[in-house]
Amino acid sequence: MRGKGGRAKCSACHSEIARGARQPLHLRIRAGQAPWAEIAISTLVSRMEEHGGALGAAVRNNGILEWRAAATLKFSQVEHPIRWQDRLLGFFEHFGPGLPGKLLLVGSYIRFEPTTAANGGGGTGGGTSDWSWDLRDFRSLQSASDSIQFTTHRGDLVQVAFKDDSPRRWEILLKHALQEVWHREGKGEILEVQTRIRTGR
Amino acid sequence: MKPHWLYRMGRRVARVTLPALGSVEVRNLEALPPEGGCLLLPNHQSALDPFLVQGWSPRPVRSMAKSTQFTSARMKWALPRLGAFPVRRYRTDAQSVRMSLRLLREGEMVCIYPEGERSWDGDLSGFRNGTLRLAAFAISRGFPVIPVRISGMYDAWPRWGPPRRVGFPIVLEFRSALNTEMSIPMDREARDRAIPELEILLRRELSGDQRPGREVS
Repeated sequence: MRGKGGRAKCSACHSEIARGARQPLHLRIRAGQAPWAEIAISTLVSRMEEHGGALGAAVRNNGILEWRAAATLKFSQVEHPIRWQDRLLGFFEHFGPGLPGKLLLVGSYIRFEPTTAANGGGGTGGGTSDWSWDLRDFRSLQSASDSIQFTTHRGDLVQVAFKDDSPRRWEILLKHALQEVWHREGKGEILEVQTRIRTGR
Repeated sequence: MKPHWLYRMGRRVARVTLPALGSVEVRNLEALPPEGGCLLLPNHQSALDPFLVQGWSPRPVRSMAKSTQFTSARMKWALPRLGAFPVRRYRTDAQSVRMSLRLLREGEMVCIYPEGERSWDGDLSGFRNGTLRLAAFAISRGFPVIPVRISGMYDAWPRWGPPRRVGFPIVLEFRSALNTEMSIPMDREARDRAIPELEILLRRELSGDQRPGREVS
């Protein structure tokens, strides 16, 4: 399904979704040439949750989470100060150039496979040029605009931006995966994941 | 602090453009102290919330903003002049806490969004522990901590979609200072013990009519 602004259309079945114009916030949905039907966002969200939500599509038959999406990877090594009127206001992170590729979540690991220049940008690289992270190394996780950011105990600050996938989905999947890992390791229930992963213990 | 010309201009632009999304209704402005440091804690529904709060507050507001917003040269120039200071959300940012406290002591109105990010679904999310600790500290030092309830902004510009005009008021409601309902001693252990009660109070003050007509299916 491809969309722009407040509308989206499926090129296969011609179903359309549009954002409604009255309260409460709702969507207008039409299958093919059928009349438009309306559904409140809150109702839609609760129905999605009943069907497993973001996790529903990502849990495989063996119970392992698996998801992948095209993404751009960036690392931050430097933090710059921000001064104004002779005063230090704070710091912000500076990210290096983005690297296009695919992000994969499999169980308790995520792996980034960069798109290689050698195959014309259409495939994925492998071997030593991949990056992977064990979720046990995660120190914090957050979503920001079209991306997720995480820090690791090694001190990495990593940003992964998604062009055609939802950072919200990734946030939910990663939080769930983190919760499972923490539970398995007997570390207790995760209460929050930013500014650092904090448990109830 | 006298606000920068960009702040004054931004405030005027907000007051002209935000009503294009929906009529703006401001409630209980009297809850804001006429002078002295105070901490505003609004719920966060939309990218326009800072413009709503700053546009209709009678005093200049200094807002805590995520550090990623400062990465472009243009924003790095504009945001400090619009009253913003950065917080690194991926780590415990001592400098942002120091800055908040310094501004409070200097008599400024400081705005921090306790959810730490915009809501995805319009509902109130969990509060960041660090913000609750800062609010407890502010109460213990006698700074008014004022919850600010925003409604209608999610419908006007949700995090996941473009802005559009809504047919009901966007409401900015300043609630009574939490200090009137709870007092927190200065010692650290007592402050930490008060945080669960503070969280309940803040949630009560910020929840409620956040999404107009939400019950209608």
